[in-house]
Amino acid sequence: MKVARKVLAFNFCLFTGLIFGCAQSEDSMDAIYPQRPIKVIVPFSAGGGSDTFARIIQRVIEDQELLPEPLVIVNVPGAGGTIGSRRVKDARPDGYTLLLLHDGIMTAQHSGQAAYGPEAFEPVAGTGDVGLVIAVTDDSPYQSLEHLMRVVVDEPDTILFSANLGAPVHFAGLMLESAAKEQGEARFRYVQHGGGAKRYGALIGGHAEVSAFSVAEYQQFRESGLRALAYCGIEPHPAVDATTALSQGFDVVSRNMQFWWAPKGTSSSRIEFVVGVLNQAMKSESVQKQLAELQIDPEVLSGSELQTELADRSARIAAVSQRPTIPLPNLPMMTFAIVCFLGIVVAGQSWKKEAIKSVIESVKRPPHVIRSMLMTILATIGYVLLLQSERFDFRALTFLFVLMTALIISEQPKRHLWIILATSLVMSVGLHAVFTKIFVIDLP
Amino acid sequence: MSGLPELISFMLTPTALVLMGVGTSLGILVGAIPGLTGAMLIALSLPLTFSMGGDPALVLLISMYVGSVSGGLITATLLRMPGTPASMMTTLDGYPLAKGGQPGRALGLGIGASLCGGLVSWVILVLLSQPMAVWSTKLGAFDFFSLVMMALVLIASVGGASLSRGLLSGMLGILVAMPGASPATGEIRWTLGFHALDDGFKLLPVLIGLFAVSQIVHELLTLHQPATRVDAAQSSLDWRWADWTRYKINLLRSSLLGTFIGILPGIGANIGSVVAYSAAKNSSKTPEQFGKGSEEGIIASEAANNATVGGALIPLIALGIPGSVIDAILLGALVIHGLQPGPFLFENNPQTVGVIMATMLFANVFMFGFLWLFAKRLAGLASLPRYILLPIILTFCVVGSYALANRMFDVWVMLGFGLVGVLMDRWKIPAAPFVIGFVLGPIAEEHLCAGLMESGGSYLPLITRPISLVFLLLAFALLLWSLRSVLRPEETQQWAEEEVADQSVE
Repeated sequence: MKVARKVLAFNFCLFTGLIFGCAQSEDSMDAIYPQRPIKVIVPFSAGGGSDTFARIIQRVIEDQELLPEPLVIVNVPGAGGTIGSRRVKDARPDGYTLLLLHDGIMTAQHSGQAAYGPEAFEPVAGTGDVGLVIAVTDDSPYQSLEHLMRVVVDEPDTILFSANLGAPVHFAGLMLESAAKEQGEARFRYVQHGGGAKRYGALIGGHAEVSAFSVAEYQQFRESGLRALAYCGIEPHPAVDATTALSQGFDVVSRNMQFWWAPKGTSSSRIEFVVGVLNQAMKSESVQKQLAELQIDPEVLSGSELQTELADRSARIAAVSQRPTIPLPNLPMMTFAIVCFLGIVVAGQSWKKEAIKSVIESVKRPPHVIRSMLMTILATIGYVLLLQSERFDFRALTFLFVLMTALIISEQPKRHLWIILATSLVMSVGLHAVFTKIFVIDLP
Repeated sequence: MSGLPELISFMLTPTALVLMGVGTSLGILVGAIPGLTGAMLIALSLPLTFSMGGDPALVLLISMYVGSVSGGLITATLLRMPGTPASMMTTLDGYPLAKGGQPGRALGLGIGASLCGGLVSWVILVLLSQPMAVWSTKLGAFDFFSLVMMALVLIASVGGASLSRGLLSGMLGILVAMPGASPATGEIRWTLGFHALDDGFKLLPVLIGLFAVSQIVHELLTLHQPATRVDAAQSSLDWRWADWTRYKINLLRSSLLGTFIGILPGIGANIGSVVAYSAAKNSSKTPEQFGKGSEEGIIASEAANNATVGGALIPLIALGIPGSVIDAILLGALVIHGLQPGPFLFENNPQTVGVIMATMLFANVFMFGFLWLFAKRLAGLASLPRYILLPIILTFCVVGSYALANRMFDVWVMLGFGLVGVLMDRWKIPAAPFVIGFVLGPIAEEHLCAGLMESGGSYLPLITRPISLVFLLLAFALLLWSLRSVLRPEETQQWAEEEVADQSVE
C-alpha cells in the first residue's frame, strides 16, 4: 500500500505541475499574425444558411492552406444572432475572434432587439450577397406585386404577411409598405411564424397570404407550390421566375449579405490580412462552384466600398416605419401567478407530513455518505470554476477531477487506485481528443 | 416513400450499422443500470452528434431510445429493481418467476414481448404519421395552441403523481422557459440584466441538471445500500415459437395500447405498461397469478413499454410536438441539425423521415439480438462500481452542457437545475411534467401570439374554430375527470406514491 500512496503523491505532483505549465501566457502583441487559430463566431446553429456559407469558406482556406493556423467555426446560436454578436463585441480586439453576421445585425438594432449595430464593430468584409424573394402560393389570386399592393392599400390590415419579426424578412414587408406610400397608406398584418419552413407552412396551410424567402428557401419550396412575385435585388436573379421589385415600380431592395466583423479596435493591418485571405478564398474555383449551386454572388466588398454599402443598407432599413405589434397578453406574469397559487396548494396539502419524513430520512443516512456527497459537489464546482478561468489545460483539470471524485466516492480508494487512475486518464485525454479532433468543438 | 433503394443502402452502410449497434447496446446498458435513464444518455450524447449529419445523428439517438426502454427488463427481472421506471410492472411478475427457478423463461418472455411491441408500433408509425402530417397543415395557430393546452393538462393529470403536483411541475417548467427572447416577438424579457440569458435557458443543460445531476446526488446518498440478485447463469433463455400464437391476443392488445398511449402527448412508457398490465389482468383467465410470476403480466408490461416508442414518435414527426421527455430531446436534435419537424418534414426531408422509421425497425431487431445474446451477462454489468460510473457521468454533464453553445454559462445553468432537481425530488414533485411544460410552453405562446396577430387581437377563434373548440373541451373534460379521482383518493393516492418513488421518466 505504501507504493500506492507514493504513486498517488507522484501523480498529484506531476499533474499540478502540468496544470501550471499549461497555463497560457499572455499574448505578446507580435507583428506575426496569426499565431493561433482564428475563431469565427457564427451566431446561428449548425446546418443553417450562415453556417453552411462559413464552412464552405473554411474548407477552402484549409485545403489551399491560405492561413498558417486553422480557421475554427464556433456556432453560438440564439436570440436572433445577438448572443453570438455580443460575444464578439466584448472579445479582445486582437483579430483572433471574428463574427459572421448578415443584415440581421441592422434589422435587430432597428427593431430594438439589440442595443448595438454595425457601429459597435470594425467591418471586415461583405461576401455572398443575395436578395429576398416575395412569394405567394401557386393558387393565390395575386398575379403581380402591383396587384397585391393595390389590395394592401385598398384594404389595409387585412393581408396576412408571414414574418420573422425583427429579421430582414419582416423588413422586406415594411419596405414594401413604404414603397407603396404614393398610392395611399399600405399596411400588412404581420404574423410571427419564424424560419423559412414555418413561413412556407403557414402559406400552404392558408394561415397567411404572402411572405419573403431567401433564394435558397424559395428554390427548395418552389416545386411544392410557391410562386415568386418579385425579387428584391438590383439585377434580376437567374433562379427566380419574377422580375425585380424595382422594375415593377417599387423602390425595394432587401438583400442579405454575409458580413465579417471584428471587435472594435482591431488593428487595420490584421483586418486587411483577413480581407486578403477572404478574397483569395472567394476566388477559388471550388467556392465559386459551390456558391453558384446556392445561387449566391461570389463578390467581396471591403474598405470604403463596404462602408458605403453598409451606410446605404442602414439607411434603407432605418427609413421604414415600424409599428408596435398588437398588445399581447403578459404570459410570464400569468404563469408566475399560477405557479404561486399551485405552490401554496401543494404546500398546504403536505406540509406537516413532509417535514417529519425528511427529518427521518436524513437521520437514517450515515455521516460519511453525506460528507462524500458534499465533497463531490464541491469538487464539481471547483472544476467548473477552474475551467471557466481558462488558465489551465482541459486534460489536466479533467484528470484531476475524475481522480478526486472517484477517490471520494470509492470506499476503498487504495484498492481501486489503479482502475481509478486508468479511468481518469482515459476520460481526460480521450474526451479531449474526441471533442477537439473528431467533433471540432472548442473545449475550454 | 421516395428513394427506398437509397434509404436501404444508407441503412446498410457500415456507419449506420455501427451507429445502430453502438446506440442500441448503450441504450440497453443504460436502461439496465438502475438510476441511469435513456433521457440522460440521449441528452449527454446529443452534443456528440453536432458535427455529424442529421441522419446519422438520428440513427444513433433513436437506437439509444429503443435500447433504453428495453434494457430495464433485465434488472427488473433479476435484481427486482426496474432499470427504468418503464419496467416497473415487469418487476411484479418477472422477479417472482425468476426467483421461482425460471429466470431464463422470465427473461425470454420479456425479450420476445419487447420485440413484438416494437414491431407493432413501428407498423402504426409508418401507417399513421403521413396522414396525420397532411391533416395537421389544416391546423391554424389557435388550433395548435388548444392542442398544446390539452397535452399539458394530459401530462399533469394522467402523468402519475397527484394532480396538484403534476400541474405545479408543468407550470414551473413553463415559467422557467419564460426568460429570454419572447418566442412571439423576439423581445427580451426577464433576464435581470444578464445578457447570457437573452436566449433563455436551453433545454439540454436544464435536462441534464434535472435528470443526471439530481440522480447522481441520489446515488451518492444510497451508496451504502446493497442489491439482491438472482443468478441466471445456469438457466437458458426460453421463448418459443408457440408463444407467439399462445399469447397473440395479449401481445397485440398490449402493443396497441402501448402505441396509442405513446401517441398521446406527454405520457410515456410508464403509463403505457401500467394500462396494458391492468388490461391483461382484467381479461385474464387466471388473474390471481398476477403479481406472483404470471407470464401474461410480463408480456403485457414489456410489449406495451416498447410500443410507446413508436407511438410517441408519431406526433413528433407529424406535428413537431414531443410525446415524451426523450422525444423533447429528439425535437431539439432535429432543430440543431437544421430539420424542422412537423408537417413539412415529409415534403422537405423525406429521406430523414425514412431514416427515422427504418432506424426504429432495425434498432428493434438489434435490441432483440443483443438482449438474446447478452441479457444474462448484463445483470453483472449493471452493478458496475459507482466510483467509476459517477465521475464519468459528472464529467460528461459538464462537457456536454458546455459543448451545446460553447459557453460556460450553460454549465452553471446545468448545476443550478441539478439543485432544482434535488429539491423537487425531496418535495416529491415529478420531473417529467416540468420538462414537457418547458418544451411546450414556448410552443403554446408562439401559436397563441401568432393567432392573436392573425385575428387582430381577438380571442374568439379559440372557440369558433371547431378543431380548437374540440381540443379545449377535451382538455376541460380531462381536468374534471382527474379532479373527480382526487375526490376518491384511496387507489390513486397509492398509485401516485409508487410512481413518485421512482420519480423519473421513461
